[in-house]
Amino acid sequence: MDNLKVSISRQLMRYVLLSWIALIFIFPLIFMIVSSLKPDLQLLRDSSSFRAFLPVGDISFNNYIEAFDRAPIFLFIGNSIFITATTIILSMFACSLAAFSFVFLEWKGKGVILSIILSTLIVPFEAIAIPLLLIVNFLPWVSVDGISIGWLNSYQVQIIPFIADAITIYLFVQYFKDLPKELVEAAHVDGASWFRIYSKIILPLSGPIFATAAILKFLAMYNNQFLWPIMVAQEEQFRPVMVGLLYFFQLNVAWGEVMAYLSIITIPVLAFYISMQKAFVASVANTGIKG
Amino acid sequence: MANVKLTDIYKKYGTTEVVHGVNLSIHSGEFVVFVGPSGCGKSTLLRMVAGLEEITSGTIEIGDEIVNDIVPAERGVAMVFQSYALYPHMTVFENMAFGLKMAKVKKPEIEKRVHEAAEVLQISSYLDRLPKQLSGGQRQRVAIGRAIVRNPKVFLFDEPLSNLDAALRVQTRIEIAKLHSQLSATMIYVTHDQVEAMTLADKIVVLNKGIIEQVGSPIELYNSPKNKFVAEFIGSPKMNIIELEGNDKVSINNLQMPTHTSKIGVRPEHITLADTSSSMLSGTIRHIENLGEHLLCYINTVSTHEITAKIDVKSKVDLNQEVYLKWNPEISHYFNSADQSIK
Amino acid sequence: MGNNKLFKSQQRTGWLMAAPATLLIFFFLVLPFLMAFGFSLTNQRIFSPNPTEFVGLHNFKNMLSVHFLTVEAEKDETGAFKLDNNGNYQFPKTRKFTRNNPDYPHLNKTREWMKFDVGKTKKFYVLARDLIFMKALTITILFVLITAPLQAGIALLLAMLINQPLRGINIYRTIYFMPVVISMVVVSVLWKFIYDGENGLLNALLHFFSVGYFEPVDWLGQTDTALGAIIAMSIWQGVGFHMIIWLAGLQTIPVDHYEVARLEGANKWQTFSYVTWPGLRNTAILVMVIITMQAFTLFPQVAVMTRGGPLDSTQSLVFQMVERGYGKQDIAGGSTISVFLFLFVLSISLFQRYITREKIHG
Repeated sequence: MDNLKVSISRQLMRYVLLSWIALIFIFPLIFMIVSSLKPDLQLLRDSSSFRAFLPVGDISFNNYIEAFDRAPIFLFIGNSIFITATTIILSMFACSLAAFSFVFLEWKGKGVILSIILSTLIVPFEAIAIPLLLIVNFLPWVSVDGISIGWLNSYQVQIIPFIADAITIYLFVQYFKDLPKELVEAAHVDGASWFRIYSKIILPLSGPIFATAAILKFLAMYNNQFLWPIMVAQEEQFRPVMVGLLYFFQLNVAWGEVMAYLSIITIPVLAFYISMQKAFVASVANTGIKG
Repeated sequence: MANVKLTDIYKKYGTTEVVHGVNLSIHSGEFVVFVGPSGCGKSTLLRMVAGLEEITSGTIEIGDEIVNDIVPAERGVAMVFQSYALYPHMTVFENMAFGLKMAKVKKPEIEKRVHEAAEVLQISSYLDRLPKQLSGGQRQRVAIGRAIVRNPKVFLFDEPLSNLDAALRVQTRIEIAKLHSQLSATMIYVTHDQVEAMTLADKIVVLNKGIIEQVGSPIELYNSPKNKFVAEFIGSPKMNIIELEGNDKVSINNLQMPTHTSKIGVRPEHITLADTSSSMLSGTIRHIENLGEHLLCYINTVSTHEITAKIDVKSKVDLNQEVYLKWNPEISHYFNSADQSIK
Repeated sequence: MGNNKLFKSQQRTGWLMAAPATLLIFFFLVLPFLMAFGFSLTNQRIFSPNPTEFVGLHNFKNMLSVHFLTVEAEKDETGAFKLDNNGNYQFPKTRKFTRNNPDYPHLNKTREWMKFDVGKTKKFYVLARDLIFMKALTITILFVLITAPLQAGIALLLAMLINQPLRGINIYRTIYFMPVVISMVVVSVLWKFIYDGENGLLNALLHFFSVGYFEPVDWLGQTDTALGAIIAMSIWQGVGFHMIIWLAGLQTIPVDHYEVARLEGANKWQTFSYVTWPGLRNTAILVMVIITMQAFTLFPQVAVMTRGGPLDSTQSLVFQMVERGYGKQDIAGGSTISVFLFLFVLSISLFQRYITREKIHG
């Protein structure tokens, strides 16, 4: 907005400041990745100097190979992807459908239910973890083997409780509220049923908010699922990526392998983030505006 | 085409009643305009006919069938919205075809009807475009096309021209009038602009605060308004109301008035300059606007009371000049203290 | 009368569409929460040979019990103060009062929390029955009080920095936001290593930048630095998120407001206080509410890095909640903290809403 030319030295100073701050934000990551390539002894030695950031010395992928031996990493990653993806897809539909009915339909009880849902924003997950554990112990499940009781050590126990959440519903509600109501009325006059209006009119116009909600849900499911899986997924077969971390802290801690594991589970997310960073940033900005 | 009948219509939002007992008969093929200031209930009435608003009490009949409990799509109505409400992610063709698709009309039939309607409105060349690629006027025509395609019994227009600029408004107004004569359709048109009402309507319904003030043809409403509200609403510039009672009363000469007259109404276009002997009313010119084809003079009669006079552009008048005015007594309007018209 | 038939179909469809999400939230959020309320009024344990009893508000009373005690220096038979070999006054140990002392039944099983000297001859004690809970409460509150304004303030500064039309500014934005997409668990493990007293990277860097002046510190092992270390790390991870929210708010301020300020000759500070800050009011409220709520749920950092130590200097409410409920299988105890936390955060949210409400009603 300035027509004045900022002097070169002023600009330079700004870049210097920005860069220093950037270093603060990024140095642990560089350290992590670089360290994952070093053998433990060198790793520990290097971390008391600037060599911590440099891929010098005995560089190799040994730590990674060892890490794959220590823990079934592909299994964990596969689990995380499956759990995260399933939760996201089901969540998008359940929450947008509910939000649609809150915004566009008139029905008794709507206000009360929406208030209750929004009030769950204050409840941290840890507060309900234990009662939830008791509940899932008694829930039935149908599978190829018939009906069984109890959801422990399964995928559904890590997916179903997290499909509906207040934040996602709130985001959809705010977005739908901003859509022109006349579109829905015109569709009515055109004879579309409520489900048709949802699928053919509202959904196609909701790209941005789906991206936002999906990204936030992804971060929540992939990154933050830690306490719950520890509680409910004791069998290795069903464990997600964050719980896998525990495998690296039994007996002796091999920090090189730890760094390798951290890198393995973090780099894909970082890559995804960098390539879609516009969408990520827009997601957070959206929540700010809708709030 | 069908007739429409509104009987004893009341509408309440919670505890607030916004429509208080409306009765109206619309004949098949008529172009009826609901007109009135903001909040008068005209849009609410239209939406009740459409089925977009619940009817608190009373009945609405379309084609002699009570439609209170029938969904909009099955009432045989089509609506053109103020903001056009075109589906932004669909092409013009898809927009126009949507209603037919919902009604499970077969594809060839849909093609035929959409192309026909597009011809009538001259939008055939835009069928593949998205609404955002069209101008306001073009979008409006698509919105109308969407309505035509459904062959409705009644067309409903909700202030369709308010989002257009002045020139486009005149042009589209003419097109809507042409459409009406082409299709001989029953049309209910809502606007707050009395010029649109006067030029388009077979019958005008003047609404104020939820009740009907008067129903009649444009000329009837112009010549014989039933009360002060209608008198002031129809005609631009507004009819002058001259108070004969109270603090702002003005003295009128040379005019025979019926008893109980409390106010006199005179249209600015009917006032002419007079000499002192034939003068009915005198005042001082406070402001003159020259519109090229005539002059608008704002004349102060007493204290803050002001009269507007539309006079010949060649008249020799100046600011702060004392003037004498007269008009044809035959076309005076007289109102009693209850603002009703008396003769 | 009216179109009740049309309305009824909306009723059915409305319920149908909202049902999946509503039922899910009810069963997996509301129900367990109600159960937590219930458990907090009992002495439920996950596995217990005894049947569960209803104990009413007993758990809450225990947890929140705080007592005061003033103790005088010991006197001999003549009424003079006894002095020990070094000439100091002697004071009875608190456990004299807190262990089955029939004169002080209400102090039974309480533990010393804070101690103040009153002159030379008296000491004033604050005793708590559930000492660890009190520590968790105060530390959590401290965490919130420090983290919230600090994180919000730094985020605002960063947002203003990023809001410049410099070439490549988006690269910096991308970098500043990066820690947000990393799991707090990963961040905790990584920083645990960085904070290490012997091989830690942080010590090395500080040593370098202070030209050898700085001595290594065991950040997570000392009671006076552990919480600060966790605070710093939490801010590092979370500030990018709020920076973006501030940024969005900054960008909704109309450009012409700034132009008016420039025309009127406002300097940087004036522009900020008269144009920027008023325009950010709503954003500020949002940021503070989110940060505060998030800060109260301090957990993964503590669980991974310090487990509440050293010496309970990094206890947090949620950590205690999980420790008791899951670790010690004391469901009632864990639930009591849950309920308390919920009510506490609720009142703070309501309070925040109250003081930031629109004072002018259109």
